[in-house]
Amino acid sequence: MKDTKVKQARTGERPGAVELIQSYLMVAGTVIGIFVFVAIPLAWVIRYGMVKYKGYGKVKYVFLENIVKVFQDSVYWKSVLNTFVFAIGKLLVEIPLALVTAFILTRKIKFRNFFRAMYFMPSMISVAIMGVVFSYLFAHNTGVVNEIIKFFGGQPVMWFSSEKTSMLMLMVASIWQNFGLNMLFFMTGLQSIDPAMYEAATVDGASNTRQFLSITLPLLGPVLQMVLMNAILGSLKVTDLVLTFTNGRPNHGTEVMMTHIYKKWFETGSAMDYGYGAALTIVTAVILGAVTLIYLKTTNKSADVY
Amino acid sequence: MKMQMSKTAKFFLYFFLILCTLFVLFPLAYTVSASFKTNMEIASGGANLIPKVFTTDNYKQVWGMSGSTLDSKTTFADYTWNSLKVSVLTVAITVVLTAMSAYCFQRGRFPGKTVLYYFFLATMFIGAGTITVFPVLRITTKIGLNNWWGLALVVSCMGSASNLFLTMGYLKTIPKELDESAKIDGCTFFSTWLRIILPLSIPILGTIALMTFRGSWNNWMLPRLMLASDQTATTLVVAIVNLANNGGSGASQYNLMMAGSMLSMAPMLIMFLIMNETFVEGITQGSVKG
Repeated sequence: MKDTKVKQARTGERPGAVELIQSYLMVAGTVIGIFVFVAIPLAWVIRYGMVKYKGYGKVKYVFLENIVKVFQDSVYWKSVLNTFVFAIGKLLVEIPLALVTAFILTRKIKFRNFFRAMYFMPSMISVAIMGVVFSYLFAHNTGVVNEIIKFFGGQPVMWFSSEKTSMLMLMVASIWQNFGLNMLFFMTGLQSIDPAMYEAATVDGASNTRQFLSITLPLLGPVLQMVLMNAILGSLKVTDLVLTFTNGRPNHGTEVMMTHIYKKWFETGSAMDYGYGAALTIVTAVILGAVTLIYLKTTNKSADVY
Repeated sequence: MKMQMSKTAKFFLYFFLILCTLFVLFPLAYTVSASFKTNMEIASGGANLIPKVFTTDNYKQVWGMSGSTLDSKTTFADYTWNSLKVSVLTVAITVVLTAMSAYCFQRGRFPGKTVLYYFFLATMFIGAGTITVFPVLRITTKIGLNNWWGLALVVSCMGSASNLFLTMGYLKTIPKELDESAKIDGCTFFSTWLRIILPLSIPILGTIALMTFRGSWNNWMLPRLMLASDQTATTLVVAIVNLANNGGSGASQYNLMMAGSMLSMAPMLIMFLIMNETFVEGITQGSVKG
């Protein structure tokens, strides 16, 4: 009796009825949850993307009409452009800053843990709250930034009035909140590189630059690829920060894809068009998917180079 | 990299690090500062970090103040309490669901396991967020879950895939021999989990609990939409953003807005100072290794 039990446990053949029932009950909660709160909503969006429905009356299938309307929506395409400007602009500063600080903090320097904790600290705070705080800092009258400019004898800037300065504020706030997080990822990647490699390279007479190019970069590659992927998608999905900080002003100058969708869903009142909102969502999801695919294709090619 | 640094190089290195530190501290320092200034001092301008007149009135006023125009009885003290309750509920649901399903996928042997696993994988990549927030809201309203329970369930399910993979990775490190000997001693699939695996996975579940608490406490859009029908149930972050958005009156009350923001930030920052290492581990494990 005992022998067969041991054998069954080892080889893992037929699970008994009790085990089956227990397994299904244990995963049931998560499966139902994901089904109801993730899968059904996705199906809902796809279905409503093809219909005309204003919240009352009959649901009428119009298929691609809504999608065609999306392509004529100039505010939406402006928000798409804004989203990419925002993402590229801030990542051009954020990623190098994260890399440089990660390089410095993986060495043996004093107060290393203090600096690491400091840079990572902004990730603890609510993005929505930071939108409120930054709108105080950049306020036109008596905002801290303008007061500091005045203190040094400069002219106060009307930050919220122009598209350029509004976008700049968003980027600064986003970099502030996220560079420490990316730094942490890079640090884990750097720390996983075997120090013996550098020792061997030093013995062989490789210069620091050579070591960086031949050891650090190739070995950091996968981490860099993953971090960049997350950072790009995260920036393209920016929502809360924009809504609580500039709220798309001035004149949709800082409107991004997600805030445009959000406003179509929740701020149009009786003019609400279910089908059109869903179509916007579908087009946005396709854009995000396309960015992911293009990114994965190009990075895989560059990975072959090494 | 082994490099001998000259004194000037070292100077520039520390100069750069301190500059970055100041960049990080700048908004926080001025938030703390404004929360202790009188509204008159803020309105009169000045870039001084230390208040001319130091006051704690802002905190007292915000704490007892109502953030909603529709309901005057619920104060920020209640919103803080609401945030705490919702976050604890979300953590509890997330940890229980994650611990059980990760065990089933890592150790279980049941038909349909692979199909379900790929279903989870797909939801992780498609994600949800703003894309599905409207239908989610419709569904929860329809089945009467537009309350804390619904909010906790939705947040748990949206983040479940990443937590699942994190926990599964951890379970891989627990030797299978333990399960086998438990089975020989007469444990069923479930009691093996309860008595052997669950106690051993407490470290990873603790990390997940901490990250979930942070996410739930800081959450804005979902609580704002899902709790909109009941103004007494709203969370702290939602109430503070409402305070800022309530037109002219809010915009001139920076002292109250900053004191409110401090109420929301302080618990997180204190937690971070105490458990800094755990947060660092939780974040890096979840993304780089997971």
